[in-house]
Amino acid sequence: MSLNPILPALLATLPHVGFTPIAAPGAAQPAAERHHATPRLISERDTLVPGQKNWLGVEFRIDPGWHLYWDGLNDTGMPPKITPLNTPAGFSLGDVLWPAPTRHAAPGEILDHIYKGSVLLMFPVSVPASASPGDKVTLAFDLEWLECAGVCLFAQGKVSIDLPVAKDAKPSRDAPLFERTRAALPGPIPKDGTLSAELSGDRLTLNAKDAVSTAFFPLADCSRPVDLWNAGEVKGPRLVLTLKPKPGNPPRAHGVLRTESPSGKVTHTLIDLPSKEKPSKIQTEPSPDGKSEPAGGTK
Amino acid sequence: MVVVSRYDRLSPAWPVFGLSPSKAPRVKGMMERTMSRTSRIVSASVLAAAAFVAAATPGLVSAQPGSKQDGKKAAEGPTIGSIAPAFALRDLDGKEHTLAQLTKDGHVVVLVWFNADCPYVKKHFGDNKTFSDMQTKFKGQKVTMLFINSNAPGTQGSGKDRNVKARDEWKIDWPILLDEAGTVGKAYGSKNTPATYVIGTDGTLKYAGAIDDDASPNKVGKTNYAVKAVEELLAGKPVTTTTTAAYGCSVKYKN
Repeated sequence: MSLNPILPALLATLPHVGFTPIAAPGAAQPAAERHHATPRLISERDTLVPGQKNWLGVEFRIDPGWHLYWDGLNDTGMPPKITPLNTPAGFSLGDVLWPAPTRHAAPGEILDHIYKGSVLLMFPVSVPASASPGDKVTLAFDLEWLECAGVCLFAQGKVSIDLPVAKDAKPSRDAPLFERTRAALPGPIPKDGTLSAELSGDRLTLNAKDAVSTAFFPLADCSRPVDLWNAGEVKGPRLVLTLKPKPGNPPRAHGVLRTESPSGKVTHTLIDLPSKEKPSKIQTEPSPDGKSEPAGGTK
Repeated sequence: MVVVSRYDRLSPAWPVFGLSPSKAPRVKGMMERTMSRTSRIVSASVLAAAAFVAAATPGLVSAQPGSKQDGKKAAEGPTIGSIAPAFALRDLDGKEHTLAQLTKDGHVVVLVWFNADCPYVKKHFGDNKTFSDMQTKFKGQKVTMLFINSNAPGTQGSGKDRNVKARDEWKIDWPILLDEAGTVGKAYGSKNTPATYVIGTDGTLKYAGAIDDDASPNKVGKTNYAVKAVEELLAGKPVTTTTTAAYGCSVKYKN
């Protein structure tokens, strides 16, 4: 069954990898404004293999002095929005994997988490098994983002990429960037005991052995930490935060822990508590004397 | 960037401190006191928290945090139900607006933090008429709506000229108050524009958060939380939505 890519007439005129800027709302002329972050849509492979996942990504090259926003808890701003346009039938798209941001504190106790320099926002596209080798597929996206220096500008644009369907996967010349980005994504708590995370009531305690600095970046669904401005980044290995969940909700600690070793190595770890893992072997039914067995294995 | 002429017309009877005409005051903390009456305000000096500052030009500085008189203000600002921080600020025509007088006159007060160059503020003007619709809606009622600009001199959207231009271009019918030292903004814990606060006739904070329910930089929401709160207050009903997450560009505080 061959694939008919669905294209708006406008996109048919775009080059292989194109970016079409759109003037910011309110501009007098429809002419495109100069943006301070340049996006390009790239693919980890040069081919789409039927039945397999391929990773796409929007890479933003951000002008010095400017920044974009992370998809977490910020006081201001807006993270980039990637909206698919006319995804071909049978293809499905997964969520963006957000690289760890840097902390940005501004006067007035304004706290944001931002991207500077460049950032690759990658997401998977699943290719249907029914895709025919030899077909050409166009994947197009609408982009919206807020770029800020002392001023903030709203920017919009369209990006698209043409990829052939083939039996074999071929890494693209951008594959190394995907690998580096993937390797740097916040990882799970290591099992070697160097890092502990505990949520006790509304108190989150993070301990990173030997770290010279520790910081916590909450995600959007994290219970809001009290006084993150002061308490969210500390010198030393131990960070304690009080969380303030929304009324009626249990406390949830969900975010990125940043630790810096004495040698300057920075590590990002994903914290998600309470843990959703089910205890594998430990019983939680009450024993005959009325006391229940603790599920100690999850910490 | 330094505005030289702003303080030329300062009253010599000003009791607490003198201002160097070549430097704008920099507010460091609420309770710290000035060195001496004649000391010039340089970047290291501070203002007394309890003093009202009267200047003959736009940009009065006066704020008394409601319950946080003892130093560092909580980042979240005053809580719902607490006494809203007092202020006395001048608009672009030099007219003074104080919360004390508005409360005394029995007004519900709406404060919206303003920056004409911020996309999140711009979206409410032009084709959308969020704020002028509110003015029309509550015309003749005891409701006062004020824009406050806490951006420091030299930053985006700051200064009398830029705000006069915005007022003329968008035909803004709310007074725009300049809070260039950022004292009032910080007292309210305002972090972005257009952060919105609604104060009841009892002088307490009734609503704090976003102006509406669309946090994008280019679309206007369906529910205007300030309108909803004001209508409920005018009807003598409790405010149903008291807080939401404010959105927008950061307020460009001086320090």
